[in-house]
Amino acid sequence: MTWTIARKEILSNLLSYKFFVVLLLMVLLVATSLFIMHRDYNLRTADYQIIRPKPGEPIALLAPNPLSIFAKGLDEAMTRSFEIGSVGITVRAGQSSGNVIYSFFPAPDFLYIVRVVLSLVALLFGFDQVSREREQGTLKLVLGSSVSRAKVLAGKWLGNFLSLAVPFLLVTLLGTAVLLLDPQVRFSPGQFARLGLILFLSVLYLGFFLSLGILVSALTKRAATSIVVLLFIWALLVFIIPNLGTLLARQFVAVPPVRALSEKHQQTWTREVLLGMAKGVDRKEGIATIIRENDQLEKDYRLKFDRLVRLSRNINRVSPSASFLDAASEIAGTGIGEESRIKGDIIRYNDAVIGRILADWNVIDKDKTYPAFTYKPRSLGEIFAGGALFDTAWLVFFNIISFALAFVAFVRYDVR
Amino acid sequence: MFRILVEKEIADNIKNYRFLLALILCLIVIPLGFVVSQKDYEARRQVYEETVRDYDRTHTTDLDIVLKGGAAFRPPSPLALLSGGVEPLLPTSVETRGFTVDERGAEVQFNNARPIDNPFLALFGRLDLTFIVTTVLAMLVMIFTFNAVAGEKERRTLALVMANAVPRPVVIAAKMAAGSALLAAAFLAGTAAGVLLTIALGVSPFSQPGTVLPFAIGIGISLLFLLVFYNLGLLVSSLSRSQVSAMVSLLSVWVALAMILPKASVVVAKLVRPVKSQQVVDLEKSRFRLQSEADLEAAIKRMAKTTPIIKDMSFDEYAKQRRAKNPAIQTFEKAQTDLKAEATARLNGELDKIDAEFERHRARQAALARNLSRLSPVSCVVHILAELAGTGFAEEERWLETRAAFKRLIDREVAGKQHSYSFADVTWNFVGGLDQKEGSAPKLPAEGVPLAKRLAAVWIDVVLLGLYGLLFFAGAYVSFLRYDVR
Repeated sequence: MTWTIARKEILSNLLSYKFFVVLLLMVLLVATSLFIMHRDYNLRTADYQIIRPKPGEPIALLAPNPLSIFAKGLDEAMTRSFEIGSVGITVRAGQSSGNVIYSFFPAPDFLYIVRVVLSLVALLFGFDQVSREREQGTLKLVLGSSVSRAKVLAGKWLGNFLSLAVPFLLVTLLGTAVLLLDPQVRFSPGQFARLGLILFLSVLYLGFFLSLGILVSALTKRAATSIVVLLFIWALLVFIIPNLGTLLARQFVAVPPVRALSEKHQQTWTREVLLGMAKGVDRKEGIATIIRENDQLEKDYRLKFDRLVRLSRNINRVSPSASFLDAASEIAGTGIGEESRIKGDIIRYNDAVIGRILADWNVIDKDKTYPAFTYKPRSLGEIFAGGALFDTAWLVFFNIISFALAFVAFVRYDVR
Repeated sequence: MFRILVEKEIADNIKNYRFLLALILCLIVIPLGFVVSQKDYEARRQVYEETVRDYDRTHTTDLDIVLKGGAAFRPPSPLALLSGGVEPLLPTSVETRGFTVDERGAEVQFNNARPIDNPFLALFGRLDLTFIVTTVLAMLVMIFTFNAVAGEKERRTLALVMANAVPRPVVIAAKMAAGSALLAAAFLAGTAAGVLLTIALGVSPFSQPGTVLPFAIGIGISLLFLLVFYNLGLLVSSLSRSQVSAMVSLLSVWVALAMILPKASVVVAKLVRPVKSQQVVDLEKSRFRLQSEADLEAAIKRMAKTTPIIKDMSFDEYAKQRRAKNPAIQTFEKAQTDLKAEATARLNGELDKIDAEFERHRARQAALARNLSRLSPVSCVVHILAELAGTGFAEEERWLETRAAFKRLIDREVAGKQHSYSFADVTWNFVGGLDQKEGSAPKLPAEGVPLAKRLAAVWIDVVLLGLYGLLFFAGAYVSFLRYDVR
C-alpha cells in the first residue's frame, strides 16, 4: 500500500506545474553553477601554471582542487601564494579569476544550490502534503479506507522524496559527465568517491527538509500558514543559526588576530637575529630559539583557534544546514579543517626555509635554493574522524527525528 | 474605500501571523547581520591600524623605502554592513618591494593580504544588508504576496469583494499599499534594532565620519527594492490561478533574478570579452622590466667597449681617472645617464601601456557584465548598496588612480634622487640625494571617494529600480483587471 501511495504521489507530481518548474530550476541552476565554477577552476589552474614557483623558490602554493567546482569552500584562501622570506610570510592573492565584478555575484557552487535553493524546493514538495489534502477534502477519503496513517505518511514521503531526489541526481550526474569531457578536469577515483559522498549528504539534507515540510503541514490547518511557518524556519536554519553560532563562540573564546601572531614572529626574528648578531650570539642557537618560540606561539594560537572552530561548529550544528556544509566541504577537501592543516604545514615549511636562509647566510642569493613545499591532503578516514562522520550521523538523526515528529503530528491530525 | 481596503489588508496580515513572523525575522536577522559585519569590520580595522603604525615606525626616511619597500594602505570600508561588495578583491595595499626602487623608477603592485580570522564567514558567506534584503527579505515579500490575489480567489473572498462597487484599481493599490507598509515597518524596526545593538556593543558604523547619509540612503534604497519586489509578487499572484503555482513561480522568478541573470551576465561578459588576470599582467610587467634591465646593461657594456679612451681603460685606471674628474669619464657617465633616462622612459611607457590595455579590457568586460545584469532589479540594488558602502567600482577605480599616484610619488621622491654609473661589472650607486631626515619618507594619505561621485556612478540603477517598480505595478494592475475571480 505504501508503494501505491508513493506511486500516486509521483504521478501527481509528474503532472503538476510545480514539478515542471522545479525540474527546470534544477537544470538551470546546476548547469549554470557547474559551467561557471568549471570556468573559474580552469582560469585558476591556468593562473597557477603561470605563477607556480620555480624549483628552489621558497614559495608555498597549491594547485586548485577540482572538487572546488562543486564545493568552493575555502579553496581560494588555500590556494593563495605564501612567500617565505627572512622577515616572515608574505601572503599574495594567488590564483584569481580576474574582474572584480565577479565578487558582486559570486558563482553559487553546487553546495550553495543544495543548501539554499533546493532545500526551499524540498519544502515546496512537503508544505501542502497534509494541510492541502485536508482543505481539498481528499485526506478524509484516503483515511476513510482501511489504510493506516503510517502507510499514508510513508507513501507520501517516499513518493515526494523520489520525485525530488531522482531528477536531482540525474541532473547532477549529467552535469558531472559533461564536466568530465574537459580534459583539464581530472578526478581521481578517490575524488569520485568523495563526490559520491557529497551527493549522499545532499540527498540526506533534502530528505530532512521534505520531512520538515510534511511535519509543519501536519501541524497546520492551511497550506498558506504552513508555507509561512516553513519559510521562517528555513531562514532560521539556513542563514541565522550558522552566523549566530560563530558570533556566540567568539564571545566565549578570544583568539588574537592573525596579524598579532605574525607580529610576534617578526619580533622574535628581530630579537634573535638582528640583536643577537650585535651581541655576538651564536647564529645556530638563534635559529633554534626562533623555531622553538614560533612553534610555541603557533601552538598556542592554534589551540585557541581550534577551540573557537570547535565551539562555533557545535553551536552551528543546531542547524542541519551548517552540518551539511561543514561535512560536504571537508569531504571535498575545501573545508575549515583542511585549511587549518595547510596553515600548519606552511608554518613548518616557513621554519625550514628560515633555517636554510640563516644556515646559508654567506651564500650568494642567486645560488640559494630551498626545498619545494609539498602538501598531502587529509584522507577520508581523517576527515570523518575530524567531524564529518558526526555531521553525517547528525543529518541522519535530523531525518529520523523530523519524520518521527511528522508521523506523531499526522497521527493526531484532525482530518475534518 | 481605499482606506477601508488598506485597513482590511493590514488586519488580515496581522491576524494570519505573517506580519508577526516578518517582524521577528527582521528583528533577528538584521541586527545579527549588522553585528557580524561590524565585528568583522572592527577586526579588519584593527589590522589596518596596526599595519599602518608598524609601517610608519619602520619607514621614516627615503632610504627605508629603498631598502624595505614602500606602501600605501587601504582602510576597510566602515559601511561594509550595507554591502561587502567587491571589498574581498580590492587590494589591501599598493606597494613596492625592497631594493626595487632605483633611478629607473619603482615597480608598484597591488597586494591583497586579508587575513582569514573568521573562516566561517568565508564558508557561510556574508550577512550584509544587501544579502538580507535580496534573499531573506525577498522571501518575506513572497510570503506576503504569493496568495494576495490567487489565495483570495481560492478562498472565494475575491468574488465577494468584486461583487461590491469597488473599482479593481483600488483593490490592487490597497493590497500594495498595506502589504508594503507592513513590510517596511518590520524592516525599519529591524534596522533600528540593529543600529541600537551595534551602538550598545560599541561597534557602531557611525563612529566614522561621513557614514550616516550613505547609510540612510541605503535604507531608502532597500525600501524601494522591497516595494519593487512586492509589486512583482502581486504581478505573479495575479497571473496565477492557485497559491501553489504562484509560490512556485515566484520562487523561480527570484532564483532567475537573484542567481541566474546576474551570474549569466558575468559569464556572457567573460566569454565575449575575456581578460587576463592581474597576476598574469604583473608577471608580464616583471618580465618586461627584467628584459629592459638586461638590454640596458648590454647597451652600457657596448658603449664602454666602443667609447674612445674608456674602451682601453682597466677598472683601476677608470676608478683613478674618475676620482681625478677626467672629462672623458664625465662625458661617458653623462651618456650613461642619458641612456638610462631613455630606457626608463621607454620602460615606464611600456608598463603604462600594459596597465592601460589591461584596465581598458577589464573595464569593457565589467561594463558589459554590469549592463546585462541591470536586467535584474536585484543587480541594481546590489550595485547601489555597494557604491554607498564604498565597496563598489568607484572604490576600485580610485585604487587604480592611487596606484598611479603612488608610483609618481615614489618615482619623484625616492627613485628620482638616485644615480648610478657602471663600468666593467661594477656599478656605483649614489643615494646621496635621498633625504635621511626622520619623517622624510613620502606618504600617500588614504582618501575616500566622495559620496556625490559614488552616487553619480549608480544613478542609472536608481532610475531603473524605480522603473521596475512602476512596470511591475502596471503589470499587476493590468493582469488584475483581466483576472477571472470565479
